[in-house]
Amino acid sequence: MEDNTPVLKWVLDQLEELVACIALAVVVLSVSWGVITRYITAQPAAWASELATLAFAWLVFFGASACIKYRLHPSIDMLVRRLPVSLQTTVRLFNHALLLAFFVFMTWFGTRFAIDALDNPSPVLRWPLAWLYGPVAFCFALMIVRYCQMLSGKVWHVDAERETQVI
Amino acid sequence: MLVDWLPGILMLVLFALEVPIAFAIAIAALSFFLIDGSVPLNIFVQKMVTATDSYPLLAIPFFVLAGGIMNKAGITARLLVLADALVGHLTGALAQMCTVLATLLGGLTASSSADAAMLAKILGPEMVRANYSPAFAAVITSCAAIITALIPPSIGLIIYGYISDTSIGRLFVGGIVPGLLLAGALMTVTAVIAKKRGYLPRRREFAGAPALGRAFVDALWALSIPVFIVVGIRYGIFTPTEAGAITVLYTILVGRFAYRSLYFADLPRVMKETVLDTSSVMIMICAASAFGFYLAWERIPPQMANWLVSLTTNPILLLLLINALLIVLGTAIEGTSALIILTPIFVPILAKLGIDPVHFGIVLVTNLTIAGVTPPVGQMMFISSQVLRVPMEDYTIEVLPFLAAMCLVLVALTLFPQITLFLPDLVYGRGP
Amino acid sequence: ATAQEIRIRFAHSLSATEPAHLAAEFFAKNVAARTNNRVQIQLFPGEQLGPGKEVNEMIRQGANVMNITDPGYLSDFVPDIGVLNGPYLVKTPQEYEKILASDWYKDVERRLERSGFKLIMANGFFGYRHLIADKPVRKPEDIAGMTVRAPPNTMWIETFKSMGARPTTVQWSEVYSALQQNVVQAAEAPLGSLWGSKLHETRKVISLTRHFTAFTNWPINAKYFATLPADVQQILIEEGKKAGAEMTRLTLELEKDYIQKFKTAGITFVEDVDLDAFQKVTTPVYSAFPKWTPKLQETVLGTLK
Ligand code: NA
Ligand code: NA
Repeated sequence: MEDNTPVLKWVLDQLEELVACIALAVVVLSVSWGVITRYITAQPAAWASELATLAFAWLVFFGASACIKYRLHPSIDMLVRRLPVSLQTTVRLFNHALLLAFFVFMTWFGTRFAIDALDNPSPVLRWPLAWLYGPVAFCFALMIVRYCQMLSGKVWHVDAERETQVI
Repeated sequence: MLVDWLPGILMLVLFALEVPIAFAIAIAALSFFLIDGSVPLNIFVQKMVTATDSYPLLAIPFFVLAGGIMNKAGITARLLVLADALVGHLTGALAQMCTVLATLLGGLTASSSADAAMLAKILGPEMVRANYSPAFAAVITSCAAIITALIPPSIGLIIYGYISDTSIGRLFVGGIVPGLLLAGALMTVTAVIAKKRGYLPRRREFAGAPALGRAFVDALWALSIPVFIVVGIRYGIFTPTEAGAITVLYTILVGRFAYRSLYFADLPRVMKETVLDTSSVMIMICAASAFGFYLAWERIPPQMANWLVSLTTNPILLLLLINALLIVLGTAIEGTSALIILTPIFVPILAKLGIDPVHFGIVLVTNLTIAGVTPPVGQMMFISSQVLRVPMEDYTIEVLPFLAAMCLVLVALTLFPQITLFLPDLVYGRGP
Repeated sequence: ATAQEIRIRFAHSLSATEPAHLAAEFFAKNVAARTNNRVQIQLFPGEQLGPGKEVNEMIRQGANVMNITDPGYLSDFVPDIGVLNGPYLVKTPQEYEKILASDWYKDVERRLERSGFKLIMANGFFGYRHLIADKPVRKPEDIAGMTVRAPPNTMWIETFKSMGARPTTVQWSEVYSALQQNVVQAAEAPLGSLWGSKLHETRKVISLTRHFTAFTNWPINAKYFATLPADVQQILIEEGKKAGAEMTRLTLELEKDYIQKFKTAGITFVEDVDLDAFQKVTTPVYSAFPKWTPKLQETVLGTLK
């Protein structure tokens, strides 16, 4: 058990990136597979584009939660920066409350919509669209957790290489 | 009614209060669902999520990832050595290369956003390293990407042609000259700014033929990548969107087996960067899609269009007015969704006033693609700024001279239909 | 809410020049006239409120909006109605009207209402779907191995597989370039849509394969419909039926115009398509849908007798 704990902790800490990277791999490979099957198999893979866009949704929303951890969602600080410090604090408190309320809304209605979508199939694979909306609701729940973790002082760093180095 | 405009006002207020842009747009859109009451709140969730159900947008992660891999594998570095040998002796060389590269890429890819991602990733950091201001680098990489929407293939022109019942072939040919004109305008502004700021040439004189030859041979595999894309698309092996995915795989092969400088252990880190860049951009596009639904539902763009037509029936004056309106609208809404909402509204008006739909299509697509670099909402601006970590206010200041030049091009395209029409007339004969 | 103005938004994904849109305008005008402008129907063409599948979901969730959709989309919620979208099911709009008048269809309508969809119109003819390619297609062997663009939809994919073709899903907005660049060899649609998307700039032969005889539906949320005054409900249903007939008339009339337009543009038409042979090879499609009631095709064809 003791050996597993750090691994588990690492996984929980990096959950979004792990899922989003797997989703990215699925997007690349399924689109490529769609191309390849057009030339080598008797029937082109009709499901490839649908799987790709589904995985893309997972990539986007899990990635959006990761961006909360790394504070990568851009905002305009032009005005607030010029306010007196006490007013700045008030504005930030308001923003925290507003964002958390929004995440709670998305979690709640996302879950409801996912349940409604249990009997609504996707066009080709005929998978319930709950596979699309369910994970999205989960991501917004995760955003609540990450946002609270961040407010209580937990810090995530983007790879040091990322800011200095270049593509 | 004022209440119809409330979500738009709320969005601007939230922007000012430092709410992250994606969530400011989303919350403003949500306020419409809460106020209006005739659309169930579940639909807000649907609008946010289904924005990802867009095949062309997959090009964004593809080209971000391909760019990341090219860098890790030293492919970009080799291309830049070659570019350096070629134009390193010009003022503002890197920025000029950016526009030239975008023009060449324009013939390969159909989405400006994807090109913005590729240019920002590949050339942006190089410019920063050469002491260009990061905001300038973000501006030139995003503005250059606009050219892609005009030089065929172009998703925007296909959508316009479908909705307005206009020949896509004529539109495609019609886009070439305006695209080149735009490239010329960007290069002129770049030359002036580069000279003023002393964005130096990298050396005093031309590097010489032997150096150029060595750089060329070393970059042969790297150069095979665009060749591979061109051949693949031209011979119909894959569509422009699919080209992105195949490019990723091809780039991995070149990096691993041709240059032997890419290690599979490098991939997770590149992939992580790709998902962070992609999702911070895409979540804004998702929010913009929910906001676009509010605009469509309340018919805000047609209200503005009707008001416009009530002002004048002179075609040229009206076109100029429409351009002005679109520039204003374009600050807030994103290119493709704006195109979808506005095309069916403007086209009947134009037919009545005798304006050629190909001419108008090019003006409209140019204008709404320029909207992608006007703050506070614009896909290409988001992409380049995100990659180069540029705050929106710095971007805004730097983009102004480029915007002015592009608006001049727009006015020229508006006043002189022949700039757009002479080439399609030459190829297809005079239109009906 | 009797004296109050009733506003209904009417969305669809087609262009504003197509018969489907003209019929919707016809409907909006007549409803306004008969209710002294008490009922206002606003049109939103060209996917302004979202793609068709999304608007259906809005309707199901209770949004006050109408849509132009088809039995294929509605079969996501009541699988049996999908049979109306099957290949070579009926030959003419008149035959289709017979099916709509049957007890079987009445039952399907009840099931749709339980899923949240009240159909204001079900009889609007959208057109025969034909094939555009580089070579004539007269019999199934001619299409064997051909890569055909299909929408991401099981019915299309199964139908073209059964013909021996290779269906590939490409978005409609990418069809033109997919044909131009030879990603696909052929595409299929009613003549109006083929013309609207200018596909004749890329391929020169249209074979009148008539593989689908396509009709449209106008759903509205059933609960919302039930809250409307009885007289308004009746007017909507009556005018819907009239608009459907108008759409059928416009579509048939325009089909002749389009053939003329295509011929002027240098397109070759293949009219002697062996429809019986195609009907025969596509029969297995009707057993490719496990959610359908057994013997569904026989039941529906039975209503024609
Ligand atoms: Na292009
Ligand atoms: Na903008």
